[in-house]
Amino acid sequence: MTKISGASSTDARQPAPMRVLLPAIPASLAVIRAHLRKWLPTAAVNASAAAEVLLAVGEAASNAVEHAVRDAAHNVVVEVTARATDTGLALTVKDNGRWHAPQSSPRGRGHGSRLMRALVDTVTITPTPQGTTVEMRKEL
Amino acid sequence: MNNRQFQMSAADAEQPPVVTASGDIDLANVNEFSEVLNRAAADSDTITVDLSEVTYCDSAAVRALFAVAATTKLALIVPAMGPIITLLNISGLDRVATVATRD
Repeated sequence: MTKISGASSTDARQPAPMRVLLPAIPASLAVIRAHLRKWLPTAAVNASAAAEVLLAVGEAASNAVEHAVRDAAHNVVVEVTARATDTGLALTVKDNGRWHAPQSSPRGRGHGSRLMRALVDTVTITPTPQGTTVEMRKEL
Repeated sequence: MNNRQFQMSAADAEQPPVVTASGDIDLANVNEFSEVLNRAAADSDTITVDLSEVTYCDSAAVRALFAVAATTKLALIVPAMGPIITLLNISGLDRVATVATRD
């Protein structure tokens, strides 16, 4: 799914965008990371920034998988996109699972969005009855 | 994802058990991690968890560690580089466990 055209590969900061669409199941999380680990170096992202992106996207994608668990009525998919911007990266994690307001925050839960905000520069979470979209920007 | 990803050293009189994890930990294999943590914690009121060879972990692993920290003193060894420190700090796990770094 990750396509890198010959023309764009000459410009390290302008790789072809990445897009993966997978069932929102735990096994998909490793597939998403494998795609990102391949794509991030093509966007001239260093190892330390890449690890931060991997974790921020991983948290958002894990949330999508957990939305799917609560929404067994239909097949939930998670879509992850990544593209280079003029100054960094734009990332999206989108699912079509039903969103539930967090009940309570037992220890270790409910830190996901704070963690994402610590790892990337902006995080916008848009929950709708049709699914949740997380948009992130990371400046490089 | 093989069964060597999470290993436990047996405790003896001097040494509390050490759980050594490697590779990626996420929702797909966190239950396996929890099982090894629980087995180690059953033997001892203090355990060391060596995450220095872990290449990815997220809130799923943090929840597993919080669960075991409720009943067991936890000492973590984490990689000096990478976002695990941020993960421990934001989640507050670094306030219930001792954390040492390894290069």
